[in-house]
Amino acid sequence: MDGEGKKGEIYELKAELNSDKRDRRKEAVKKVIASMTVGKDVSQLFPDVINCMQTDNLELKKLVYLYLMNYAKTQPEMAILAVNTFAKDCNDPNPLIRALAVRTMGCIRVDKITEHLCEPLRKCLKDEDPYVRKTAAVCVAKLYDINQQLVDDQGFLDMLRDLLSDSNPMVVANAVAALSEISEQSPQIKIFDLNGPTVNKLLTALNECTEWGQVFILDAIANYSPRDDKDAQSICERITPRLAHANSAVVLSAVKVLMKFLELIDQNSEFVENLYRKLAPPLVTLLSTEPEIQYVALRNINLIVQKRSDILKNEMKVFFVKYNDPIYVKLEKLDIMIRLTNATNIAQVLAELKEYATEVDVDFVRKAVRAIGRCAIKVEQAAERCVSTLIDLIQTKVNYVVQEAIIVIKDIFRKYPNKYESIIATLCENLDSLDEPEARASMIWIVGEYAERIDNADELLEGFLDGFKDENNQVQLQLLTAIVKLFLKKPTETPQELVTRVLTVVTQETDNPDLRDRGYIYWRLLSTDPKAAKEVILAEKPLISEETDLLEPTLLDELICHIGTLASVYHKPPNTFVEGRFATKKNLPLRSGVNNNDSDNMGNGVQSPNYQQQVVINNNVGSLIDDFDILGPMPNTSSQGIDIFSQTQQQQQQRAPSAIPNLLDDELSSILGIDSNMGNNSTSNMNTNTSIPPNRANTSGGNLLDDLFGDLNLSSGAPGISFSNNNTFAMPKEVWLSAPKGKGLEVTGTFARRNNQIFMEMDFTNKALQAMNDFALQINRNSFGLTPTQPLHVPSPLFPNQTVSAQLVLNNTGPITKIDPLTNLQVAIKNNLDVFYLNCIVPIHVYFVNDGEMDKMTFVQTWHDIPESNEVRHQLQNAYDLSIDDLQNKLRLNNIHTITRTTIEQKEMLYQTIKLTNGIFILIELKITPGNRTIALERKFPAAQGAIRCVRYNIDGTYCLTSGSDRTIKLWRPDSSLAIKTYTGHSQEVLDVHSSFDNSRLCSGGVDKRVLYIDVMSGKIMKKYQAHAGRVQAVRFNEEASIIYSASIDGTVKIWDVKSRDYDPIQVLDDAKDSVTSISLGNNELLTTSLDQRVRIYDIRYGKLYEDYIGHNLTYINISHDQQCFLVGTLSSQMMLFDKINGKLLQTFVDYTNNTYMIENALSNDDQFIYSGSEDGRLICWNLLTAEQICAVEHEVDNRKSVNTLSHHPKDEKLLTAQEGNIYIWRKTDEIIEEKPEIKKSFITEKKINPPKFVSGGFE
Amino acid sequence: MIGGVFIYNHKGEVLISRVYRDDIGRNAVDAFRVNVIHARQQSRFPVVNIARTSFFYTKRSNIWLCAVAKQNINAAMVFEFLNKMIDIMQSYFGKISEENVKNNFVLIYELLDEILDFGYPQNSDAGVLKSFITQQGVRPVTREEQTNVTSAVTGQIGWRREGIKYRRNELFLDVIESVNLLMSQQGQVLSTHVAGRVAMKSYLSGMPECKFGINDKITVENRTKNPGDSTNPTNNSTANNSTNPTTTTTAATTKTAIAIDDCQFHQCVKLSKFESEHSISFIPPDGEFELMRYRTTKDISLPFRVIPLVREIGRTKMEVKVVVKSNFKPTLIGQKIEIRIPIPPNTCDVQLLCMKGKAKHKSSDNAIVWKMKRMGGMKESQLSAEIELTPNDKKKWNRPPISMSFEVPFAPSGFKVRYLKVFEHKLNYSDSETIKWVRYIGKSGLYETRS
Repeated sequence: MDGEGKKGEIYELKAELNSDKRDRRKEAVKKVIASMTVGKDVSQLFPDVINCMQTDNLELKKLVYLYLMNYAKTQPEMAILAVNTFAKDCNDPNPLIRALAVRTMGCIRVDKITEHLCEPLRKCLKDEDPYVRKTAAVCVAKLYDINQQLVDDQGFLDMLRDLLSDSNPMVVANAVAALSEISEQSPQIKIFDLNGPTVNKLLTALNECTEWGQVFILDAIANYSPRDDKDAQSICERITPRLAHANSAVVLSAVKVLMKFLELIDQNSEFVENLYRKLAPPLVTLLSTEPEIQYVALRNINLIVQKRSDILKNEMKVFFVKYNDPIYVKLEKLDIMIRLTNATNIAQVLAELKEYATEVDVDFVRKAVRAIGRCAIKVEQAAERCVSTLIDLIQTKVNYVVQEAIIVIKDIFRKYPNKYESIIATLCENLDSLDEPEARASMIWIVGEYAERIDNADELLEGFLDGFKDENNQVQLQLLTAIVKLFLKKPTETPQELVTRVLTVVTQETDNPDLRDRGYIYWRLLSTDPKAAKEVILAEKPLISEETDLLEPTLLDELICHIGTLASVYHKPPNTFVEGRFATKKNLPLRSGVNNNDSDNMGNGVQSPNYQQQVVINNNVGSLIDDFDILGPMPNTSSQGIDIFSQTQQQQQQRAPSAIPNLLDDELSSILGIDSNMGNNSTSNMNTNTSIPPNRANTSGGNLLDDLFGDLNLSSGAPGISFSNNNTFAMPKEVWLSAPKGKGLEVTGTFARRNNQIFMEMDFTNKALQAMNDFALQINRNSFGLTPTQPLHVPSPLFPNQTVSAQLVLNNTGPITKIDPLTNLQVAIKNNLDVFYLNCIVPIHVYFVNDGEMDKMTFVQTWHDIPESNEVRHQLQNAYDLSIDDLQNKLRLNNIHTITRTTIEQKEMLYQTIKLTNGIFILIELKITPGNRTIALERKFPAAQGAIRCVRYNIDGTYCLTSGSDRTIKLWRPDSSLAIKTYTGHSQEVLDVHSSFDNSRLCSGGVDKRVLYIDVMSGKIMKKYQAHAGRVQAVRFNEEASIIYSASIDGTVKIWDVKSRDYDPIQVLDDAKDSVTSISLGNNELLTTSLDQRVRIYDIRYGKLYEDYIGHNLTYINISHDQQCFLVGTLSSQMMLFDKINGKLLQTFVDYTNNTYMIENALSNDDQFIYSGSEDGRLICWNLLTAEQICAVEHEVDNRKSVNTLSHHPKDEKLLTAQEGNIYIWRKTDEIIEEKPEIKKSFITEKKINPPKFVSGGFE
Repeated sequence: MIGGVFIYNHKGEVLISRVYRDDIGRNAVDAFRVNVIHARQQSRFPVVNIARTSFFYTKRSNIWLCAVAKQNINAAMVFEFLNKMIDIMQSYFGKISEENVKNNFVLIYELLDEILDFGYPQNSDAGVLKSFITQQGVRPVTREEQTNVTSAVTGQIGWRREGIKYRRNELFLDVIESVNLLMSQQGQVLSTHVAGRVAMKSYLSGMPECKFGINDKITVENRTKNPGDSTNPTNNSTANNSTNPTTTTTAATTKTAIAIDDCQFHQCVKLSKFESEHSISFIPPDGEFELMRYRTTKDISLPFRVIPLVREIGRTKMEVKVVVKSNFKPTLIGQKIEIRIPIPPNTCDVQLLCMKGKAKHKSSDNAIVWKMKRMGGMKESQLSAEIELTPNDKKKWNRPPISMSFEVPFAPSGFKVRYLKVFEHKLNYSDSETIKWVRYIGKSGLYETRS
């Protein structure tokens, strides 16, 4: 009957839905929705409801859409019918309907529909109405949730990013929300790149958008990592006004950003103090909101107080509990009160807590009583008062109060031994009323501990023992220990009898293994050596710590990053309650300059989401090997005439053929390899460029000897240094076990070879809250048979925050197992907490033994015996200009022995051998091409015009122009450093200058927004154009010098006709969405770069614009001389070379610094080389084809100021650069230009790798 | 973000269910009913996590409102949103009750569609929503009007539409303060603060820019520092003379400037301007809204003091004496005074004697309620009660605090409106033509004395 009734209802609805009266249809749809809400299945009505969709009644339409969203998934075929209506609605003149359509379409999760969604969505993203745009922005996120690939392919992400610059703040806010969500879903791709300019835009939008928009934006900004403390400060300043917002979510999100960025700011600065003052009142105000919000706020305040208790130290009173507060608010307030308790306010707090202990809610009362105990432990001066308060409470005889009091008193006894024993009598009075296990256990512990002062201790314990079997496990354990204690303290008759009884029961009649084991141990102890038993059982207990209830610091830091969110309410990291999605772990940012290992890791964690220490090491090594795999068998380098080869000889049977060469090659290259980035004192680089893991940041090799050479350079200065024996090389320590993985234990370590022994050096750091002890270490079987010669000695206990170093001598007598990679070593470290397993890579140089020298003849013989296939070649650089003798010495120290040295074709050849601990010999041929620096300084002269903003050669290179911060332009004859003329006319710094083809005119642009057109001879200003809204960053003449192009920060390129009398530009190119940073002229094209990350190519003949999205902030563009490619400089320390025709990325040039300034670049006249300045004061040259860095020259030894501008001589191999106020002229050394392939390497090495062999009885 | 919003009646029947995200299924609706509404033990937290789904809920009269999410979302925002939603619904159809929700379910769905998109809260200003979500069917609107609507929803001043016109430009300012007090038996003030709000009703034409001045310490100090920017006497007088006589009298009782601990503003106030210049300037929404909220803790003049005296005579008798003292100018009159004195639940008989007003024993509340319609300043009144108890030692009585409620016609914090200037450049009505009304009300918040 029932089923029929339902059926009848549906039939009725069906009829009504198809009625021709509009009102009836509407009523019917309402009924359908009502049934849907209650959970009835009305999906059968799908076609009928869809029929009602074509209506101009907005209300009805919305209802139909609602229905559609619910049931489309169940009826995908039918849902397609709706597509047309959607498409039509998306073109409706009413923006409300357009938005409604796009909003609903995104909610229909049917694959077939999503395809049809793309076109309307694209249109709506560019709609003229902001209401439609803001809806479309969210729709992109919806679509991404359904089909990521589609969103990628259709370019919606770019469109979404464009919306960040929308004029309407609400559109911006929704775009931020959508981008944040998308990037959270795909953390591996960098979708939402928060950089300085973006954040700036967001901060501007923040002032104008709705409260919710402000929340989205603030939450997004919280993920930004400021460049430095100034950046952080200025963002903080702009965010603090939000603290006065009425919406608590806005306030909490602002607090989150501030708490995060506070980490980056000098903690002692006035700024921080001010911020503290500003943070307190809004937090307090949150307590007068609705209770639910109060709860969220209190949970967050709890975190904030743990992290920075100073903020609220004077606000104790506001956390006093009100009678009518909901219980959850009360409990939280209590928690915070205790955290804020100190000696000055303890009296007040105690009075309050006493009051609370008389309330009705049992949980609350218990917590209050416990709180009193915690106060006693925290504030020593107040301990006595707390204890007397507790005694008062015990006198009330309220059962749960008494029990709770006894539990805390136990803790107080532990904290202050031998101080309050006088109250034991009172406690004993209440023995019978205790019925909870924890309270009983506590009482028994007290009796046992003070057995000698309690006359009837034996009676009391006996009483407990009678009901032993019914007790809770916890109580049983405690009772066992207490009785044994009693016996040891008062070895009289009754206790003895008690002990026998309890031990019998425990060992024979109980099932609990813990209890039984403890019983056996006591028994054995007591029966064999009572004295030892006394020492063990009555040993001094470690003091109880003050803050047992604090969150673990790493967790706390993570939670601080989640202020306002659920994670902060639950006090759990998000991945514990969020399903499925890959949640990135957030960490607090770290101040630069704090440079311990740990901090580096933390800092990294923020920027690179896939931060995993252990994996990083392996990955890196893996990739190194891969690299050399390619180099090894397929020596494409040698085809360019690079004479490197090496051979591996006497292949050992049982090893994989490729394993050893690769391994060694890797190592040798790292020994001899030079990575200029690492070597050239640019550790500062590494700090700024934090996306690279701190250890092994190098890209090309593990550069061991690089550091080794560095050492040498530092220690000596003069040639011919004597080498001490200690001067062997060791890698810096790296993190083997990170604190989170090691339950608070952090291990960093390295290997070194000293006095022919292999040392494993480790630092153990305790980052947990408790002390650690019982350290031990074991090494798994490994390829070289390394085993420790003695047990690990770590002074224990290791207290929290303490670091100790330990050294372990290893020898290679252990069992051998091949593991991959060969140098891998598996180590197990044990402490009292757990056993930790870790992998570390043993640098191969520690295996080099000192008796590896070989007879010359044998060497030659062996060399020839090695098959070609065992050869590996590699080329290395020596940036330190070590002499060959020094090099030899240095290598010898590390047990790389030189057999002979000859000169062939003006190149020094070194033949060397290495012997590994397992008897394998490696033969090396090292060919050294004595080279000069590729670029030599020809001339340097001061320009005397403040800081130089640009240097430019004229058309034939005989003259040059410079512009300076002193508002002048100067004309020079660079070859004689002769200043010919000074031009004035700008009212502020001059940023760019260009001379005409006939040298008769100049154009210039500057901060004063002017573009000047100057006569060179007279210095007269012919034209002054002043139409830009911001400073002019670049100016260029066209070929005939009839037109000036000027690019400005206002986002436009303006074109001026110098022949015309008009002072208005003849054309304005305003396609850029952000400041235009540079222009370059091709034959028929104008190329511009902009901070909106795009290159725009204007084809002048056809009037076409090509846009290329690069994805980095672009600062400078250069078109190659053959007009085929263009080179752009970016603010992410890489230059990129693109094919102009098809926009393909041809090459990326790295290893220089460009994060802040506009650094110019240049191409050599034959397009073979690329030059760029760098922010660390170097001039760098790359090979265009291979992207290899050829050389990097420092401008001044001590001056690392940025080199912003440079200009290549139009005919010669000369360069003009400027650093601060000086102009430098560089010339490429001739010889190098002659033999082109070798330029890249000033040192060319050659090595042979050879041959594994276990030699039995020598190598003859 | 928010995955769905559900509304239940007290029985746990779902009245409204709107799901925004695919990760929330129909079973979430039931999970909340089973685990929270029908739970045997009342849930103790406003956020619960059931099977990795978080439920945020609040209750208004008999109605449960619940938002669900599966992600780590901004919890403060969810609760703010739920409160906002309640405000919107109230402004549309009054009290939130089962009947009202059922009758307006189409409207609620429509609202939910508008204010949440994919779980992201959108413009939620009731005034603006009313301009395009109505239940009277769709008016044929011109294109221009439509763009007006959309720009109001998204625009920089989303809270006000263009083209408002009034014949008489009028505005009302209510300074409403609630005094919170917690006092110990001995008469020691444990904590006290004033939570004040400035409610404004504006009936102004066009897009008026308003500037609001108060006697905040920082502003006043700034002012004395730069004498060039002296106070405008005309404005001061308009504010003072405009309305009831209390303004002048309070001026006498209070000091010149007060220290505001913290203040929060309606979204129309330009916060960055407040931060930099400490001036409150805004374009007000049309009609009623709350301009600012503030909190002060220093120098609060407590309008009343309650002095309790409780004596237990044996196990069956208790004597309670309560003295109330009013502590403000004798010319002023406090109103709606009610004192609630809790008594033990095992009371069997109460004999009351009071000098003024009416006192009653309300056994259902376990309290004596003493009401006085009005009480002048600097007066004193007393109530004494003899209570007989039935012997009962089951539970200790924990003496809840004596609470009091009242209304006084001044601001206990000393808060004062110094001026409110109105500028409308386009329509050209001047500041002096606007009629302004200012009223001060001091109310009791949690005004408790422990007994």
